[in-house]
Amino acid sequence: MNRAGLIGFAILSIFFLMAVAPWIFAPYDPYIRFTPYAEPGTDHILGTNDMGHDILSELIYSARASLFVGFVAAILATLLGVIIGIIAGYYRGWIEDLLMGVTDIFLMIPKIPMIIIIAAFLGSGIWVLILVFGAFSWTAIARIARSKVLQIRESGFVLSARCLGFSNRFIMAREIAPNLTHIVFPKFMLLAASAMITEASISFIGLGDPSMKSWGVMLSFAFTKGGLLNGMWWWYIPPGIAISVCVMAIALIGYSREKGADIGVRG
Amino acid sequence: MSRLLDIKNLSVSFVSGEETVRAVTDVSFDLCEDEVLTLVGETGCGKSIIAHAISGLLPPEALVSGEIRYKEKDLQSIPEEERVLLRGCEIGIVLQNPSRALNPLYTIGHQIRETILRHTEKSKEESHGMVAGALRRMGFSDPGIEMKRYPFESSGGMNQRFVIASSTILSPDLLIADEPTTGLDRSRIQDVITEFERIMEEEEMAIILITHDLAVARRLADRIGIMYAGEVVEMGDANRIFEEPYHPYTKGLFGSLPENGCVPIPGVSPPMSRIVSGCRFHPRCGKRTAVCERDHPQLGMIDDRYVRCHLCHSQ
Repeated sequence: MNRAGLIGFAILSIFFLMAVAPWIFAPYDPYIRFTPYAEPGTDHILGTNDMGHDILSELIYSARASLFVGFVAAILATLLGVIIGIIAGYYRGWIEDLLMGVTDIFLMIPKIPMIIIIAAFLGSGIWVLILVFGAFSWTAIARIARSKVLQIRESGFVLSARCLGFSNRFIMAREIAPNLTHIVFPKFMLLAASAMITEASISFIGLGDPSMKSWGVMLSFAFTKGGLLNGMWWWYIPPGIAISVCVMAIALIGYSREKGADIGVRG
Repeated sequence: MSRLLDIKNLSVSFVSGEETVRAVTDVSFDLCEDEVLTLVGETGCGKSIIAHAISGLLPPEALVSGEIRYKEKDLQSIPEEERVLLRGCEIGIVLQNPSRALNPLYTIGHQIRETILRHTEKSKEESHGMVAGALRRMGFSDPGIEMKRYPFESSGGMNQRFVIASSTILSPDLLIADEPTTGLDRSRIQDVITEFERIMEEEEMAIILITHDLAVARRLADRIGIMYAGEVVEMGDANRIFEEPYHPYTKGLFGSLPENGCVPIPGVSPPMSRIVSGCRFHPRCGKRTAVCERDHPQLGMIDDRYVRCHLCHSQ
């Protein structure tokens, strides 16, 4: 990993720590009510919101939901994409045509409008967001996985695994899949970043789960409860910065691994 | 000695667009237990296709006709699962390019052990011991170290021996080696030859060795088949053929060796999509006659061997 990657890794570790054990960092429980609309001061470094919740604590507790949505949705999309890509690339023929045709169809569907529509029907919620994001974001991974599998399946060790009598499933899972890590990982990180931004956007337009603390929800309340109109920058700027920095950290890790992606299995 | 493998009229062709590539035409031979048969020929003469046909590794678009009987079983008609299980267990296969035949992500020990775990009920510890034993027999004095290595940490020759180890660890009855020495330098080739000689000596194994290295063929073969343009042109006892080749192509092939004056055969082998009429070798043959251009010669017995040549038969 290069220096940018290490910086990203360091920042992301801090966010992860916040998500796992927010009470270490947060000065208060985010649900304790103080005087609402307090300005930043010694008691409340970032002031309080309309409910009187301490904004800094809220910010720290929100890391969990944002990272959870980001990574779970990305894991879902990556698993789907890798499985579909490997099957298409390994079996080829009509299976490949079918799977890649489906991929092309999914590729055309715009994600965020789709999530808005589905959230409108199914009601908003973190799992709807994760499932819909996962179900519509696997296409890029499926395509790169397939093209890499087409290359790997012709390589000697796959042929010799067949020579040694291994089953197709074993070859796909144990011989081919591990060799995809270095190209899938950067994509996975970028997907996680993208899922976090999607979560923020969806929450911002009010389709998120209002009882949940996430950066997007914070932003949404800052706008609807008059934070912006009253120029309370300590309310709406910090969640924006948190999203940006976290996404940047993830992207830095992703990019740093992408540079090494050319090395690996040849022919 | 009983017959292990019996191939009758094997033909393999590939259809791509309007062209039909006839890779192998009408090849028949049999193989006894404990016998080493070497198939020799130029690149593209169809020798590897025969290996792939026996092991069932041809791509699905290949058209195969003829019969491949292994231990009285017709390999073409048995279900795919049974065939998959034969590979690695009863039929060992060694392919060319050893460094690529090992997965770069697993250690040598792991990869050889997987084969044992796939085909037998042995425990991890037992299989570990088997791998160590096999590597020790191959002359690695400290198998523990080799087993922990990754393929990129070993040389091509060592990797080829690891590949041979994983193909032969379950003592298959038939070993198919497709150009096991290609891409290796002289001293590594020597290692591989030594390895084969050890297998031939210590284990009861029939071997089909496919090579274009005549020196390797001469060292290892009991019987040799010379192939040209998808056909067997001469087949018989290896020593006899090396002493006195009959077919003009075999003569040309031996004549092109450095120790025999390095005289190349004029011309190039024909593309497999356009079959030459008459004898397939006639455009390059110095002794061709009218009949060679007109009639396709049949494989016939002369003295102790099979030869496919009008001239040899008329003498």
